[in-house]
Amino acid sequence: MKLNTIGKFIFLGVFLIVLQTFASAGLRVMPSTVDVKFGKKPIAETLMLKNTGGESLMIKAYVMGLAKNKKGDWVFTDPVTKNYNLNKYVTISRSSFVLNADQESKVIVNVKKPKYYSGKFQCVVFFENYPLEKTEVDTSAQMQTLVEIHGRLGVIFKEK
Amino acid sequence: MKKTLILLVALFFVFAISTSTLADTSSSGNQAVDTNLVPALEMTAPSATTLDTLQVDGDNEFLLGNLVVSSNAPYTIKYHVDKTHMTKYAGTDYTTATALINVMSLIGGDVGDFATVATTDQNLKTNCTVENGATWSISGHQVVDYADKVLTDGAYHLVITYTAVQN
Repeated sequence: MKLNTIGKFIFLGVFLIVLQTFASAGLRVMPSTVDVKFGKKPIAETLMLKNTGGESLMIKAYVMGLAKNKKGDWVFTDPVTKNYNLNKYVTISRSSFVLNADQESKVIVNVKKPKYYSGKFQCVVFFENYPLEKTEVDTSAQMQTLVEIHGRLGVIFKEK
Repeated sequence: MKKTLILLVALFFVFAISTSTLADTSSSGNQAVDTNLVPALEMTAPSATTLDTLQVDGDNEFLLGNLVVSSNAPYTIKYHVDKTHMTKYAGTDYTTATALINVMSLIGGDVGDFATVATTDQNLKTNCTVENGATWSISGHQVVDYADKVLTDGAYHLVITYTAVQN
């Protein structure tokens, strides 16, 4: 009977270690798409972010353009091009911040259509998340690999 | 007096009908804003894991974890892997490592949909219909054709970034 109880504890311990090993980082962004009708003034949109995982996350926010290439595939474009600097037209209230587990946070994005942009304007505001605590790697070990998997969620701003 | 009474009764009926209509509207949810209906994207990814199966002359496949992308409505998700580099943890042995490892993403459990991802692959994968709570297994494959490269023992660091945006 005692051995059985010890066995249960061992199983629970192993189970918890396995759970910890596969700890997941989760981020929720709302809304996922914003339809914008541009006027003279910049459009202000409030986005809600929630950390749904069990660990604190470092959030980095930035903007990229979205355009079709010659093949017709959608590709992200660098925010700084020859014609305009997208960072001047899209401003994000918080570009780098910590979001603790179960914490919610608002981010306000101001969007103005670039002057030199022809056609319907589209851009993506990305929220990239990194685990706050760095996992240590045993550098003395032979051929050991630390794998970090980062999530990146994009909110599309589309011109109506 | 009678006319006033009739007018009052009529006003009461109008008031009663209008309030009941409003009550019906609010109970059916036509006017209330349900935040659950606002489109949202959620991504849950394994943040870090340590592999010790890497071999100098190996040809291994290894599971890195599950990526879960969900939304509160059926969505088509675009995704790509924008960073797949492997650097020696305390050094700068970058090119050797990128020649060694390819990371693959398994879509919807179909082995035929394995997509090898290179460091320079910036294109979005399109037409990947993903339903709420779709789970993708992320696996790596160790490539053996690195004859001109020499991989030294040590600790290496691999970073993968996944992107999800609404179609």
